[in-house]
This record gives sequence, C-alpha cells and structure tokens, in this order.
Amino acid sequence: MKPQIKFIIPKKTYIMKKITFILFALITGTTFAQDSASETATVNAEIVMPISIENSRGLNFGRLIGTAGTATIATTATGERTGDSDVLAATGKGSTAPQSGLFAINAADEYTFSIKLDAPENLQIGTEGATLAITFAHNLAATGNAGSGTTEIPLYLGGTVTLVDQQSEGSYSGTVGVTVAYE
Amino acid sequence: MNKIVFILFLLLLSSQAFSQASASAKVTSRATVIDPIQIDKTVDLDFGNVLSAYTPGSVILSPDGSRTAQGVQISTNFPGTVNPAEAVVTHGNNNYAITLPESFILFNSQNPDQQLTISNFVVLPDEGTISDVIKIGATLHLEANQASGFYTNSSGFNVTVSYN
Repeated sequence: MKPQIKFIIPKKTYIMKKITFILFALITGTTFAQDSASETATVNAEIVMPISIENSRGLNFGRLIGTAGTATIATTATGERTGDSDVLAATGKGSTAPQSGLFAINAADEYTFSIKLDAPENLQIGTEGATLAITFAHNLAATGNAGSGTTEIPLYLGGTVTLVDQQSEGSYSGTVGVTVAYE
Repeated sequence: MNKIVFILFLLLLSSQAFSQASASAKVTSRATVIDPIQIDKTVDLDFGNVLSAYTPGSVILSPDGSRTAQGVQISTNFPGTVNPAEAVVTHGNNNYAITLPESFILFNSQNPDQQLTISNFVVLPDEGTISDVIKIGATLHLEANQASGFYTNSSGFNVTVSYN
C-alpha cells in the first residue's frame, strides 16, 4: 500500500485571503476613479451680407445758357430740372435729356448705413478748362438709412450748378464718389 | 524499502509539527479619495453678427467677450449676441488640464455647403477654491464673399478636463 499525503488548506484562511483580495480590489478601484470629463458647447455666428452700391445712370444738367443763374436737378427718379429761366435752355438738336444720377444700394435687412459723398466743388471743361460751380444732393439721409436685404434701395443724385455771366461755352464734367457703410 | 518510506514520512510529519504555525505583520494603508472632475457648460459660444466682405477675414472673440475684426467688419449698432463659451469645472482644488479642439466647422443653416471654420481656441479661467469658471474664445475665419446667414453646428465642440 502506497502512503498518501493530503495537503489540506484551512478553509478559514482561504476565505480571509479572498476577502482581503476583494478589499484590495476596491481600494485599487478608487485609485482609478474618473479623472476626466467632457462637455460640449454650441457655436453660432450670423454672417451679414456685404453692403454694395452700383451706379447705373449719370447726373446730367442738360443744355444750359451761359449766363448768370442756377439750374437744379431734383433728387427724384425723374430728376426734374428747375432754375432760372435765363439759364434753362430748351432741349434742342444734340442736347441730352436732364436726369438725376442713379445708384442701387444693397444692404442687409434692418441694418443701418451711412452715405458719404466725395464730391468736387466744380465741374470742368477737360482737365484745365473753365470751371462751373456745383453742389450735390441725394434723396437719402447721411446716416441711419435702413437696409432691405436683396431689395435694391435707389439713391438719386441731384445737384445745383451756378453759372457766372458769360460762362464759358463747353462740355463740363466731373466725378462724384458715393460711399456707403454699415453703421 | 518500507523502512525508508516510513522514515521519510516521519520526517515530513516532524517538519510540519515544528514549523511556524502563524505570522502577522501590520501595515498602514492610506488612500485619498477625490471626487471625479466635472465640467458643466453654462453658456454657448456666440460670435454675434459679422459683416461679410469681398476679401477673406477673421473675427477674434476673446474670452473676455471683446471682438476684433481683421479684413471684415463688425457692426457696432447691431452686434447681435456675443458671448464667449462658459463652463464650470469642479476640481476639488486639484490641478487639471483642459483639452480643446484645434478647429471646428460651422454650417449655414440654409445651405450646409456653406461653411465657416473656427480655430485658435483660447481659455481664460476664473479660479475658485473647488471650482473654476472657464471662458473660451476662438477665431472665426471668413472666406471672401462669405454667404450671409446663420451658421451653427448642433453637435458642439468638445471641452475635456482631466486631472494632472
């Protein structure tokens, strides 16, 4: 008969080890608790259309008689011409029809914009010829004009020219700049 | 043979009989348990109204809420809703790091093909004892002739805080 050897592990000790192990696991688990967190934020931006202005028609005083007096073009769509009768000449052969200047402005709905004229004080024949005094006007306000989205806002440019006696005969011209800007 | 086995058996028994029956030792264990770090958003990031231009540009929204436009304009009369993002980080007076995305895309609500890019996120923490209020700004980039409209991204950008 062969001798047999049994190694018996006391049950109590085994359970203790198990409990110790579980406890250790719990402590270890605490060490690896959540150490980061995330959150999201929404981002918004409202992009507003750029303001624009485009010229489609020039300002024209038509034919005038070279004597002292004034002629005015109204800041309206039709650009009626008024002034001293001595100055205003009947339209004749070769004359051009008086008219107001016309610009189309596009600005975002509900946004206000300002208008600034970069206007000469005189018209001139060529670059070195005689001059003709002029002032400009338009139908909109200098500030606080309301935009209307894609609907064009017309700007009618008018003005008044002042002739001196024996105003030199010729074709006078000049350039006026119109700048619009959001306020 | 039987004799040898018997002697071996005796030796084993004898060895067990005189071995140490038990032993004990003490060790001090310490554990510092801290609350998990937490972040709660309180305000979304709003760049407000930006005027598109015929050239590319950008708008820098600082964490203090101020805006700086480069190449584009911002309306002073109609700034719209302007806010840096804001969140509360509960950290229990422990050091932590903040992770932000490098960039983020916004989509035109009417035409998703039109997009805006945001980058250069900047954080300004208002430090407290157990929690901070962090404010986050960023830079909005516009293309030339950027289409007008409301741009957003409902998925939001991620802000992650981690204990150091």
